[in-house]
Amino acid sequence: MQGKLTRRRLVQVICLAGGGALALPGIPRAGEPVEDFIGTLANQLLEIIVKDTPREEKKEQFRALLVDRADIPAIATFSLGRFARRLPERDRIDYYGLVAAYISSIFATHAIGLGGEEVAITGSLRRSERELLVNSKVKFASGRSLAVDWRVTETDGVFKVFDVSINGIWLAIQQRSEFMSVIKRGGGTVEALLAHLRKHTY
Amino acid sequence: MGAGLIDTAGIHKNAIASTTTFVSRLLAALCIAVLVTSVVAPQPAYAEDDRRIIILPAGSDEVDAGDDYEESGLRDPFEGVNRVMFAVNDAVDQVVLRPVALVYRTVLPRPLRKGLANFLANASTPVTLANDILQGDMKRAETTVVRFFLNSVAGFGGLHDVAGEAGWERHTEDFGQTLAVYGVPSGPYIVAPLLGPATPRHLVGRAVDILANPWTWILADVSLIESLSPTMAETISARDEAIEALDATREGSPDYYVTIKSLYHQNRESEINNGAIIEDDLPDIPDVR
Repeated sequence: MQGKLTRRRLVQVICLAGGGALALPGIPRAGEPVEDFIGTLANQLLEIIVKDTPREEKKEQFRALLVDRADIPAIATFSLGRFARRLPERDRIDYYGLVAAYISSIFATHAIGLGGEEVAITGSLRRSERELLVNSKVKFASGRSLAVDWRVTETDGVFKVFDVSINGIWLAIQQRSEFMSVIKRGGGTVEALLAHLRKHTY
Repeated sequence: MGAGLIDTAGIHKNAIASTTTFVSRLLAALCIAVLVTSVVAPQPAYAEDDRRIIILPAGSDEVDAGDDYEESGLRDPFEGVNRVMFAVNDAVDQVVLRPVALVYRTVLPRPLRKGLANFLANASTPVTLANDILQGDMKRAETTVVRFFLNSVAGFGGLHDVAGEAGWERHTEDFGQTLAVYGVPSGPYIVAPLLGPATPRHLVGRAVDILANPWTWILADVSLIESLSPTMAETISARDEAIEALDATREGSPDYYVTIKSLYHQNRESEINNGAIIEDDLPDIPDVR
């Protein structure tokens, strides 16, 4: 009961109900494959969110999904901004792993406040050979809805999520601001960020 | 004639006193209102239709880790002072606002709190409607009007958001957004004592909205505490709804100042664009294959 009430209170949600895709007049849709990809992913995320499991379990389930469905190298590189070139090659793989673990920790922290009733894919657009945009709306029992948009990369027919926007807040852009702040305050060295990530990927 | 002079002086004195009182209330209301925006999670603006992508020439696929995006962010030339002010505001939030919101949550059951939030949102209709019209967005203005009448009549004075349940989703507009629509630049990022994260354009917009809001004038002659009660209620209600989100943000952020600044900037841009994605604003995705 308490969990149910808590979910209703929540402001942010990522979930999907599968069908219900709406046609967007005038906008060339990217097609069903990417919409199915996001639909399935959102359902899996919702399952992790609403299931009454310990924080650590949520974190591990999310991390497995993240590594499989997200473009971690692109996200991690983007998050470094102009400092990307300063990341030593030997630290690259380690850094990618730390980013995945860090994002999972953040997700687990915020998951307590996530919930939702229904989500519909409302549109998709192919921006280039490599990039697609997918729009979805999460609907609540109250009638309120939340816009969730996805930037997706496609390489050799494989889709990966690069960024997610919840009501206009792009999470990779948000993370980039924070990572760059850590680097700047650490004297402009990527090592400062690596140390921070190692310390906080609890 | 002498009596006339005395009367004139008296009227002038009263006018000054009245104006001074009003201005002080206005400033107090402004402080509280902006403080909320500084510490409470950004309130969303909802797009009215499902077509949320604005088609512009697609971005390039070049690998540059989106360096251009950094330069287009909100300028923060006063970061040192801003960080000090942010710390003050945050302390006020932690010592006063958050505890009050917790008490509010404990005392009032969820349905009552939701009803109050709905009522306050409905009462802010004049500001949203005026700015819908000023921006020439008649479709959203129509939505605002329909929502107001539906919620005021069928929703018991706005306590119940029947319009939202019927598909007329709430959106907000303010004069700061209107200025942005007309091309007025935001100016640098500033964090003023108690006023919180903002830009000069946003602050000017806030002041105009308060002056243009009928409630400001309706409550101008009542006591200070009464005139500020809607703002205080709005503040506490919004803070209540953001307790979990802000707590999680504080816990997970490596730099709370930067996190709030980035959230503020992204949310503000989204509000100005009515939730639409401006493709040209999206940073490039690095190609690290």
